[in-house]
Amino acid sequence: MIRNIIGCILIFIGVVFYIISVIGNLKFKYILNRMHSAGIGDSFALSFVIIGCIVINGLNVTSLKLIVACVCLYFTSPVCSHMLAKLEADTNPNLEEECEVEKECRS
Amino acid sequence: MNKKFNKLYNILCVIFALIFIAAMIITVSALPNIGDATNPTNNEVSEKYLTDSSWETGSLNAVSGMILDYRAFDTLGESHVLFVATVAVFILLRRDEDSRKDLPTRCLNQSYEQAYDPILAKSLEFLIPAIFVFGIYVIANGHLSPGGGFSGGAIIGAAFILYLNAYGLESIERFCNSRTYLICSCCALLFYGLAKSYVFYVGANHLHSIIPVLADGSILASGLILPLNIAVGVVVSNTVYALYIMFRRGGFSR
Repeated sequence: MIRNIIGCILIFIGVVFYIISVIGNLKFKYILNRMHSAGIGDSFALSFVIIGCIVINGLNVTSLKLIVACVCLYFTSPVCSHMLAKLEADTNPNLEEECEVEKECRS
Repeated sequence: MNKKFNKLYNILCVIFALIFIAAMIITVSALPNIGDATNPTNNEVSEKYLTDSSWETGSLNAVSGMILDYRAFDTLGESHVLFVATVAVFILLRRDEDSRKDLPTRCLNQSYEQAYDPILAKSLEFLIPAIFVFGIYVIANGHLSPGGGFSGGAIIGAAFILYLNAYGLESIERFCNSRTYLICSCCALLFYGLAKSYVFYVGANHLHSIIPVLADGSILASGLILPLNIAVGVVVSNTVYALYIMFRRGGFSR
């Protein structure tokens, strides 16, 4: 019973972060801003939902698989965001109109 | 004359489309309900597959037993279709030295090439071996759990693509180039064809096959299904990687 409540609270936190991420994704117009809000959903909210599922499920093989999925997503989604940001910074010639660029990064 | 013909053509088009729409709607309305027990799909064929495949083929996964034993000829055709598709893309997109000379240099330099990225490379050092092991597990356990040659081959092909993007063409050329592609694909397809020809020959002449089917749930339980799964996996992973690299660069080498 207690386990169910703790798991539901964790999943609820995750869903709240997801809602924030979706709102940001719809509100922002520029890709770097949108990526920032999408990253919240990818790394933080997803981890909370999976940890909630693990707490509800208890310790067994399914939980182990969920932990592996959580670790893999925590590895991949920041790298994915980094690659997207790098692609945008490399290919957009008018980057300085959108955001501040440090002097040593200017090509 | 031409104008009149165009008008007639348009009217005929509409009439044809209406006829086809009516035919489709009538056919759909005549179809039986989804999930009805008396449907013609619920016949003795699927029942036999579900009840007998675990001891006849030794594969606990009924889908694997179906596609690599009962309907292995169909799967042979599918893997050849994959190979032929890659060959067709080769013919269409291949850029050899002669055609490269004709292109102006700005066309060659136009494509954006991602430079070596330390963050991506470091994180993929942990991930790519895990992905390879997972793909090999999916292929090798294809007859015991959900999975098989097609899904495992797609996973391994994706790992190849990740490796290419993280470490560059020179790095992957050492172990995965056009030579290894041709050798692996042709050997896998030849092995598949020969193995299945033997089985069909033996079965049609009511002889005893030398390939044992243990059907005890171990990894060698299902006779030919494990090697055939590996062959299909090799073909699928090669196809995924070759299609990607052809559309990316127009060839295996730069």
